[in-house]
Amino acid sequence: MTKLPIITPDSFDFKRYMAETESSAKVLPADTWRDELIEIVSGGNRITGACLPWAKTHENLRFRGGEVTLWMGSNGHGKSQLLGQACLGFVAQGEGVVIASFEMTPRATLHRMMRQAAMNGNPPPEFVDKFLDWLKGKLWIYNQLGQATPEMVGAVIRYAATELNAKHIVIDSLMRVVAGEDNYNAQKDFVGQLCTLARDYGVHCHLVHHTRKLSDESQIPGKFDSKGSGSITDQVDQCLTVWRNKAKQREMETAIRKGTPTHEIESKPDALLVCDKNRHGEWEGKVALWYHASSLQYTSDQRCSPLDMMTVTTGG
Amino acid sequence: MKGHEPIIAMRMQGYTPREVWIRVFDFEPKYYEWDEPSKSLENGFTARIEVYPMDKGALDFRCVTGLVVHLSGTDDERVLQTLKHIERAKPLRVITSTANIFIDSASRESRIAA
Repeated sequence: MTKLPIITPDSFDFKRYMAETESSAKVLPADTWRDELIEIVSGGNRITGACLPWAKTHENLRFRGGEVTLWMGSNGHGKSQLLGQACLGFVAQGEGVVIASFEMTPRATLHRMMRQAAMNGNPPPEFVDKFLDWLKGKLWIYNQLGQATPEMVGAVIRYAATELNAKHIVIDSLMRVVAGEDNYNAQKDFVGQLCTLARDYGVHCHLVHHTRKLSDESQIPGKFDSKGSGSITDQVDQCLTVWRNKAKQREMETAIRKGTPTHEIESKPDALLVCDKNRHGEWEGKVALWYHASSLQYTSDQRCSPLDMMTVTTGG
Repeated sequence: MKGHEPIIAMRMQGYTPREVWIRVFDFEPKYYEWDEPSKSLENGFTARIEVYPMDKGALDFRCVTGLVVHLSGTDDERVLQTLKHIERAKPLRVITSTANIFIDSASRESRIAA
């Protein structure tokens, strides 16, 4: 019996064929997407995608595959911390997460997330096993501190999507991947590359980015305050800003020192999550959050009860 | 859709698989590392492309241009939709089979059960 080779040399100029047919293969009649359109309509206003841990955000904010969210905020306003809690929520929803934090060691990242999962500041040693067992097959950390390159991040996204089947990739932060605050073209290219990879691999990329310094910390930054190129916010699908109410902290400290009532001050939120770009949703607005200091968790109301992140799947 | 990238990469380098097996899935299967469709050729198996339920709308099958394609699946309607996408790429021959369908583009033999 003659054995036929699986692969043979080919005289067909495939490279040229691909280049020549690029337009005809990709410019398609509108009815190509008929089934998808029917699916959207049949699903009513069904919102898809992973949600944040707080129920009051579920109707408005979602994190779907193929999209990029820009997480913005000033230094020390808790964007990475809040995103860490969001990642625990994604894990609880069964969606794998890869964290590429170039600003914090894996140990520090995991320790902070463990406190959030334990709902207190001093989890016992036996909780470590429980926490890590829960994360098995669902959370990975890219062990790279300091600077990275767009190529390295691209490779991590491809690996995370194809080998780990992760659905969320966190890149913290843009400035650690693209050197030079005024390197606008490189920033634009990197965010463009991120959007393409997210779409091609069906993952959601969470990109952390700093906002420029405003004259006063009581001002809430928005998408126009992002550092660097304006094309960063233009290209991403969602822009979220984490803003900590530092004035409240100061008011509380003063009230406690003077022995005056704190109820009214406590009712003010500790932080705001501001959405001022939501390409695939209709909602833009602010979400008030209260901070539970010992667990490092953000909570949805002033009762400040931390959530059990390891059991909650759609939030409370 | 998985498995098309290595075929494109190979053809870009002047090589071609003898045939391509395309399977339309009703779910996204879990794989062993060696069984991943993107690694099929690398691991000495035949070229394999898998189409999943989320693969709707535009599917680019230019990687099978001029090749023999074996298309199968369990959902007749989705298999026939996939066949339309494949035919746009002008393969040499497509043999389509499900429990109710048999279509061979070369012999013009066609059987679709009622």
